[in-house]
Amino acid sequence: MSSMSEQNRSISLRVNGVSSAYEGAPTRPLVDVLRDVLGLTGTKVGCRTGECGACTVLLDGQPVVSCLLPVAAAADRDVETVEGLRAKSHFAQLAAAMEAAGGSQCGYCTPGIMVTLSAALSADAPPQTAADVAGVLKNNLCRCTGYQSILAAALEVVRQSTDATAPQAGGETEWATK
Amino acid sequence: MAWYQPNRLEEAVKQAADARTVVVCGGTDLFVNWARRQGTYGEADWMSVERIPELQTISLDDTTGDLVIGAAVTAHQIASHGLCAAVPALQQAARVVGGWQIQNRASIGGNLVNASPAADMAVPLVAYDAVVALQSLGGRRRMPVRTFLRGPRQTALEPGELLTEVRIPARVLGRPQQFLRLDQRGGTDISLVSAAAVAQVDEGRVSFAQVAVGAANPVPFSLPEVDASLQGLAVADGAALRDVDGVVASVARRYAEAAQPISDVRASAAYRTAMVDVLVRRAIAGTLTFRAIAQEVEE
Amino acid sequence: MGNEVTVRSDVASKLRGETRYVADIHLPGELYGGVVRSPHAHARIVKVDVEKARAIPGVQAVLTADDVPGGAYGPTQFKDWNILAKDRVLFVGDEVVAVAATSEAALRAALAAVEVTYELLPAVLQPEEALAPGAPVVHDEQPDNRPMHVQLERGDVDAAFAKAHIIRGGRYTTNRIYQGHLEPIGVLANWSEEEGLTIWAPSHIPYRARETYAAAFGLPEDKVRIVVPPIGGSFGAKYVLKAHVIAAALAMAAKQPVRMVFDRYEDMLTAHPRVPLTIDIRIAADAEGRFLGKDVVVWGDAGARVYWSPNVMATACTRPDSLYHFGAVRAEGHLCYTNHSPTTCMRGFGNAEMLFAVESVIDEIADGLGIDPVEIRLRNIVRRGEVTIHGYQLDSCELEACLRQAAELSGWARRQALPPNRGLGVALGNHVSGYRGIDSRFEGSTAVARLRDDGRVEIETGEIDLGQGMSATYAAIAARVLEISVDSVIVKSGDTARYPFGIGTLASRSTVMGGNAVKLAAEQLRQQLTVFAQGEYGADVELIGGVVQSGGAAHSLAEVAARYRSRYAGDTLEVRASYRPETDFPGKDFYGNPSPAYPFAAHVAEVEVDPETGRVRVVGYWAVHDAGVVLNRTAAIGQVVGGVAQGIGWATMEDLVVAEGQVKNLSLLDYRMPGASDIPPVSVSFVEVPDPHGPFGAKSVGEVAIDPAPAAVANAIANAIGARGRHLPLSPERVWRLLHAEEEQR
Repeated sequence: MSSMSEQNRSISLRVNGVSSAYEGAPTRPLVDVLRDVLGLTGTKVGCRTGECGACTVLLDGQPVVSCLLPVAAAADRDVETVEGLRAKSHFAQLAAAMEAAGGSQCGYCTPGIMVTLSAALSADAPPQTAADVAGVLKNNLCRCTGYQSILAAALEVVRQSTDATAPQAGGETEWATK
Repeated sequence: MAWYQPNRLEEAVKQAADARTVVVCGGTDLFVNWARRQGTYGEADWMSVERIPELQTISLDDTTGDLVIGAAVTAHQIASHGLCAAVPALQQAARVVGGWQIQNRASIGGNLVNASPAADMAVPLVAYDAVVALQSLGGRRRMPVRTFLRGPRQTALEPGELLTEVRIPARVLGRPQQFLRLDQRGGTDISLVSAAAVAQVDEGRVSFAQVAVGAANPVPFSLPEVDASLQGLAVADGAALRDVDGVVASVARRYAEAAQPISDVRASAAYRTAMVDVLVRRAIAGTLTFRAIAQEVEE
Repeated sequence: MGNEVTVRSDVASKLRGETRYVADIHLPGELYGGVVRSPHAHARIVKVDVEKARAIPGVQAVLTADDVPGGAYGPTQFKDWNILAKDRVLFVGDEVVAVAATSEAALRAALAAVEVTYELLPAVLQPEEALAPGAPVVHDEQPDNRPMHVQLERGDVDAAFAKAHIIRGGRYTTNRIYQGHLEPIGVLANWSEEEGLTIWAPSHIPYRARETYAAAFGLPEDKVRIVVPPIGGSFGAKYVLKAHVIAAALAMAAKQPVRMVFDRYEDMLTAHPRVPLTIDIRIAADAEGRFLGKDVVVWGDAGARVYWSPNVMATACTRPDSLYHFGAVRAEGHLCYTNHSPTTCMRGFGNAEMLFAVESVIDEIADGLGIDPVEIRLRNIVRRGEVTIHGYQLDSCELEACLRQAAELSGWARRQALPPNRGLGVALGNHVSGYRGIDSRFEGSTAVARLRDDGRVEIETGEIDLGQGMSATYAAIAARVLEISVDSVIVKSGDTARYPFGIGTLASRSTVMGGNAVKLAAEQLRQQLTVFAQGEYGADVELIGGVVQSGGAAHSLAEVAARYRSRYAGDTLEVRASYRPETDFPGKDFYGNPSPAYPFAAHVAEVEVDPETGRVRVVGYWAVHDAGVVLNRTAAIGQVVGGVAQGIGWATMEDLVVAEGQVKNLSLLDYRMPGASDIPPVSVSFVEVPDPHGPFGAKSVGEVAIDPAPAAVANAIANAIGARGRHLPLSPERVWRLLHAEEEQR
């Protein structure tokens, strides 16, 4: 069976667990629907060419740049933006590490980096080294920090999670540490 | 404007027959700077092929042993899938297609259909002598990647045809191979020149070797008659490589001679030509010293 | 460190995506604004036909030069701006027609429907060509195409070179660097007859913006209000912009709010990059490596209008002379109009550019004499207590300690025995903490300190936070003066209708200028609070730990605030203080002490070069800074690492490539800024000695962080490959050509 949405036939979206129906051009980039229709302005527009990563969101748990994603491609999938992620406890842990390390200056790239790092730190194989984190962030540009503080913050979260899980097997943490 | 999202290949093939249909998969190429470019598509209908199960699989052909990768398989899936460990050069190429976010969307089929001269995954596929399958209402045909790609943004795809799979011949699976790309930064970048090589070494001798070069000509290219000069080379172990240096250097030089790169904002033709020499030499050398690792993959 | 305070800031909301930048703000009834731009570098406007555009449904305003005030204005003393081009377009991207419409689709249709007929004119694209007789004239008012000509000599330069043991030099060129702010240019403008213009504009010098825009429209300044939303990066790009003026003109015409937010393409097309400099330099030294003379001629490409290029040129011609003892110095600077998009400043402001040349030549002298690069610098650097050749009074200077520490931390001694294709390079830098020459009329900063109802203290400043940590630093300063928790201080700024005047955040001003004003205001608040409390509670009052103690009783600041309001008709206790530094305006002779405090830095870079491809990787970096006493360590380290990263991008990969007046790489794919993998671990250290003029001994750090970086990287590359790259960026192809002895002879 095929699902076909004509123009102005609504596209069902599920953003941060909330369902809504979008009506409009199916090719409209998701980032514009998030910002201009749903009012989720935490997702930023930096380049519209997929280079800067400021518009990163999670699509079924995987980071994607929402400027290159036609809204129809997000139909019936789970989209998570920084507004959804920030409600989760692991986000607070990363945010605390970022703030302590000085991982955000002007802040414009920051939500995209938080989304990417959140996904990386919850993955089955989270980054273990600065080079790993830098690899994860290849699609996120930051002009202020020089990245060092961001890499340090991510590794601090990994360290905390490792410390929390290593001594007693029962240590619960939301970050995978395999 | 309509957006079709078929779940079955036959529906997609039917829809593709409509000349107004633009086929999209991950969209990482088509939707670049969308607000400025949407006018060029007018009132086209769109068909997304990313959710068609037949296009999402990675499998080994039971009879031929070929590795078959569905057109909608993403760069990230190629880089992480167990079966793709047999094609490490393709994995290396998949890992430099943008960053994580792009790799989660960019598909191998899209990389070929877009036919950018700098497409990364196309280069090892040409070296492998990989074959694409093209399907339309009229049936299905196969064609080597190297003839499928015809020029910048030009392919052999006929109206109404869909690229459905990429087939990598069994004989290169697990063989020593390497993909190298010259870029200019650690962020997402585009290839200045890239090269891939794959070889088979039996009892210390090269029994076959194939090379491909990307971003140096309108399409990735191979020189089979030049590659043939690598056959029979003795490479008993890494240390003996010095003895074959001359042959490898000569192969690299001939690839550089055959390259007709452009000068653009990224680099001059002279530099690109010189880099073809360097990358081909390194890719072959890397391949011929890669045996131990490759053999582990085979076991 | 006893003087360090951990400061809270706006970072939490940035991390959570709650910060609202200008593109995130909407007004009811807002229109979409856009601009028809010149596709030509230089052309006569023969005809502008906007009838079809006006007829498109949804179009609310279409403006040509005939519809807007035509007087020349500008943000500096060079008044060469218009609102829209009338007779000629002067560069690709020059603004011809402005449109406001109710939807983006209508806007795009209208922009496409405007028909402009051009007659092409010969363009002038190189500064040296601009000076040649018969060159096309960019502005009729400046027939020589040279809005600024620096001529400066101190000491007898010819005599110095005549007695030199060694002379090194050559032609160096610096590149067209795009500031690369992640937030594209955007603005929201509104007009009402009663209140005049309100412009939401991310400008870090909003009061100069107000003055400039008021002049553009012939309005009194109190009819222009600039509200500054959080700024998503600037580095010099977001001072005073034509986009703001055009949005305002559209809002006035349509009588509706107008938003104009560029996409990256338009942001890059209209970018005002760093002033590209061509530098002919010679430095003379004696046999011991002591400098005897420095002689430079500089050509700067201002583009078609003046932004801050004159300040950049002046800085390039003078600033490094207060870093080293050059003996006699001579500088000639030609700032030239061309048919390029106007250029302006970026962090480093001409000094980093000239230091690239100076530090390269110093290494060549060291090579020529067989003296170690660190040693030759130790023989020539400025030190505390000196007055430099241009009159800079160095009341603090730990440059020698920085250099020695950088050498030690980097393992400089390894340089003799590095593996092949590895290189170590050293470079120094200096800067100012506010520069008297930014405004001829005044210098300093004003702050208001207020005791709020809730007992917290509110600080108002005219300076602007760009994410560099300014507000947090101000909070720390006020908290320290008042001996209250830093969480009890709120810092506000960014609205010209509400907050005190400020010259703005440029020239590394904020810590010393604004910081001193905050310190003064906090001191006066403390004093007045004490006087009031004495009247209320008795002569023995003491402010300790955020509580007023008197006769064994403790009174919270909230209680004191309430008591004050009850005595003064509900008013709040508030003081206003201005810091006025004792500095000299650098006149035509560029002599005088232009800043209260000078920061210094020594950087060492380590690179590895792939000799076959020319690809450079920076593999190590050590930055040692004299920023006085560091008040906000995390922010200061962040400034240094961020500056170094920009310097690495500048030196190795970034360039807006222009040909025939067109920028060829209008995307973040082909304008390559460094990614996370391009920046090595950067070791940052501070030599902390209080400066007598900085607040609690602090000096600036933002710009000096980048000043040595391109030179340090270039010197490291030269050390690695044994050849000197004189043209930035040292891209893989450039380095490869150097290695293959094909560097163009220029």
